[in-house]
Amino acid sequence: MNLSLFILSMIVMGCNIVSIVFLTPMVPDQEWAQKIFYLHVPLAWSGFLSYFFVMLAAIGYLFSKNLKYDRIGHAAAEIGTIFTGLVLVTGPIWATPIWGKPWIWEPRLITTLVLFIIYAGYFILRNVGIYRQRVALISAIIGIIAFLDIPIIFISVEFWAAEIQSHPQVEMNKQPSGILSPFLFSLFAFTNLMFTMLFLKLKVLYLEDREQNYV
Amino acid sequence: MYNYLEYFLAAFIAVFIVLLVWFVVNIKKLRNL
Repeated sequence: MNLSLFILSMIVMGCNIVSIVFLTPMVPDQEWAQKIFYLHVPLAWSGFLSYFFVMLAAIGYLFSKNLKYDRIGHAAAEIGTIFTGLVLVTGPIWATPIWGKPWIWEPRLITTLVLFIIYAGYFILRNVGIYRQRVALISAIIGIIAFLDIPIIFISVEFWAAEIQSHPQVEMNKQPSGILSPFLFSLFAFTNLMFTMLFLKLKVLYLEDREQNYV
Repeated sequence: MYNYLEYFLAAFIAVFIVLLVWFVVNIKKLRNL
């Protein structure tokens, strides 16, 4: 099942790259820089979805104390952090030609950076060497608290004064035509990739736990 | 006309390399376990 999902996600991602490079329309003024949108936004969506799974797994762990949920949380947190890290890399690359500078201290960027830093802390904590069940418990608590930042990221535009918000809300119906379909396909491709990575990582973590006799 | 191609390539290569390294590391781990 893992292998077929892996092959499927590679094919879908290959089609997605072809679609982004050759089929999406060029937007005047931004040209190729706008195409970063097809990477940046799906990465953010998949990353946040991954963090949602961290929270669900954390709740599952707190109720059951079953290490299976800790492994799900750990795998999802790793993928979410990689995706959020890539969002924080692709965003400034896009912003450099469009805003004239890579980073602006505005609410959505700050809250996303905070999310990334919280999860950097989460992984430092996982590796400090305390015993397995304690790590799982503390990670579950952090997983739930950290997820609270995600709604804040979404409402940050309204949360703080709109005039300091230079990060536009993505309103797809206002985008030029021809952008919505490839964008949705890219969203599907990255979500699919996220699930493939999640299953692969879960398998690795399960085998690691089995090797150390936790399973 | 200036078309910002290098910015797209930079973002694309960054995403591609990070994901590729992640897959290589984890598939290696899977084989060794």
